[in-house]
Amino acid sequence: MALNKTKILIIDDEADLRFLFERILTPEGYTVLTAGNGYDGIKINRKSDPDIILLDLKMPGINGIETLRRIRKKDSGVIVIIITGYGDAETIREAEELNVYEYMSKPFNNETVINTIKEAAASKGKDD
Amino acid sequence: MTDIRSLIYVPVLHTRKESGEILLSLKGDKPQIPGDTSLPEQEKSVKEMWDGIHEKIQNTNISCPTMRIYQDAMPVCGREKEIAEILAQRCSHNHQLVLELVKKGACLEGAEDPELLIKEHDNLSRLIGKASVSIQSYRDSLNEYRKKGAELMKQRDVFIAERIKSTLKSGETPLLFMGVRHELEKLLQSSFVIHYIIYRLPFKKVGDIYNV
Repeated sequence: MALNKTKILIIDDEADLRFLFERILTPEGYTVLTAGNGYDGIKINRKSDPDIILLDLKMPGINGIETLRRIRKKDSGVIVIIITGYGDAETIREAEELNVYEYMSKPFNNETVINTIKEAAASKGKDD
Repeated sequence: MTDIRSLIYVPVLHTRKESGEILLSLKGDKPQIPGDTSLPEQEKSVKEMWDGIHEKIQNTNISCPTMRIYQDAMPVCGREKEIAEILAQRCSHNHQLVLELVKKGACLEGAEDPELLIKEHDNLSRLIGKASVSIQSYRDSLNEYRKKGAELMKQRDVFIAERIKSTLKSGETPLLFMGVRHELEKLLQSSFVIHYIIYRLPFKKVGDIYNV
């Protein structure tokens, strides 16, 4: 197992996807935290100060863009990668304004996600 | 009851290099864009973005002869295919894909008002000129460029939307390649059912995003 210090928060209402991300990222040496909705994601972000957030857009309660807007009020530095199955031009513009690292659509290729996370972690100087 | 037609909308990112090449094709003078040469990792991400878009377009099963392509920064000028060929030769993955679709029977339509594009060219050239002064000067000017550019972008979008409605023929499906700062969907959603093709948008790799 690779050793690195990167902490990743997954915010996605689909339990299967949270499980999948945990399964593919933990063996890579990442510390994985999960939240099933935006409210919990904001709380965990404040408490645990992750390096990278993988954020879904379409969730019950507050959506991903609103979740990110609230996160950005207190945390301008966390790297955010959006992974969504419901993208449109407006949410892309909002995401760009909220300084996302990358915007990816589902279904995704596991290798692409891992590589993007590695690159994002390296950009923050926390890759192994 | 009137059938609402489908429209395929592909939001895209252009690299600095690509923006520079597009501007070159408009006026024939090449602005000095900082970082004009793409970094290998930027090039890799952008290529992956276009490979993904390519695959998703193939999966739509829309036959190319029924496809009419509207490309951002492509002026209505009668030389659209020639411009696409020049940009494709200069390694624009965007225009390489457009040409591939055209070769398979799709029609490339001029999308933008040339005069508005010249204004965009001038605004961007002014911004780029600041880069030679200092990074701070460039950053300050980038904010100003974005504020000024928003109004110009609205005018460009109105022209493109009218262009789509006036040139699209019966039985055709419009395929739009538009930079992420366009807001065309607001002008088209009452006339079309919009289907998005998004693979990945590597914002940080691409860096500053211009209106070209």
